[in-house]
Amino acid sequence: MKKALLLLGTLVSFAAPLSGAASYTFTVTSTLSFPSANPTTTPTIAGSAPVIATILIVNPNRENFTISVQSLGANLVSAAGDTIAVNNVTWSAIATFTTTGPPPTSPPSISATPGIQTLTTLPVVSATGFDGRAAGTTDTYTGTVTHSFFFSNSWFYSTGVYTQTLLFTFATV
Amino acid sequence: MQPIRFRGSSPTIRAVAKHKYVSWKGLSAGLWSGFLLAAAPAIAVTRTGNTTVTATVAVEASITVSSPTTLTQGGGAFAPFTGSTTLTFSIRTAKVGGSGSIVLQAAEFTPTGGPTIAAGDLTYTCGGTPSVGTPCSGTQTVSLAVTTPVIGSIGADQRAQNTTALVNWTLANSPLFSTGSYSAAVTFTVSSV
Repeated sequence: MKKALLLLGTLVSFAAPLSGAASYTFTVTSTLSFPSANPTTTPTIAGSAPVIATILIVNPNRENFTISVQSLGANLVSAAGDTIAVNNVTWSAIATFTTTGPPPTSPPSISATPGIQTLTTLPVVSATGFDGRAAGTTDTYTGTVTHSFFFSNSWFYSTGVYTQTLLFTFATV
Repeated sequence: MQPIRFRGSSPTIRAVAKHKYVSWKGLSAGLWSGFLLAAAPAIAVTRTGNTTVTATVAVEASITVSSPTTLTQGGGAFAPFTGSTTLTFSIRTAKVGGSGSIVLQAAEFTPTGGPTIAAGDLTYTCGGTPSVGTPCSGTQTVSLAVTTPVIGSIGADQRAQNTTALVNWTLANSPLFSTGSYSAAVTFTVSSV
């Protein structure tokens, strides 16, 4: 009887994971204020200043990304417990990219979500982008999304100071 | 393998034994299991940041007045002049300890020779059913020096938008008045604290 040695093998190969950028630094304006106003003369109150989300990418490596915003609660809440639904807050965004260093081998791009968006407890993308490919490993690309917020005024809000926290998220996709 | 045969006088019994064997030859490369390629996903990166939102809601008040109000004479000689002014107001008083009101005050009639505020010729009553507060009761005499009530008893945490009230005017009609047209400016003030 012939003896045979069956060799059954599997060749297992792992492709190394794609390497991302050297570093990512994401910052957001820490406060947003809506001052009080007469609802008849000022039915919509603009935020005291835009909320600017900035992503600083060192040595980017051709990654797509999004920046999104959401409220961490369904209401703005006063110390007395009165509430104003967060959907009375709306926002719009504009986005830009700046680079330092030599011209990129693959240019970055970013675009803001068009139109007026309503603040919700679910994340809503405010900008999508592509971080490109730098010519040098220390080159830094900065994506900036400027969010303008608006508050719907009403005679029927109880007086008080209402607060809530917004969460901004940068994520590569 | 040779078959095994038996011969004898009895009917031949033929037994054949066979062995089966399997040749691994020809085992094709198809038996080689597929190569497993696991392409690890690119590293996902997430970063977050928080913003604290603050909305300040303070006391506010707003009022509009139907203007002008033309007073017309009732029937009969020297019957008084009457007419009504509609107030439309919005208000938001403080949640705790707040209050609100509407008052009026007038400047003197011009030209001279006719009715005067100083003489108490102009009076009014309050009416309507505003959603907050209480219209003044009784007959009020318009003053040059002090305000007189229109809407009172607006308490704490009162909120209204475009609610209305009425001021019903009565102007004395004296035979001592010179003929002509006379007008007086009346200022309405809504307050909220």
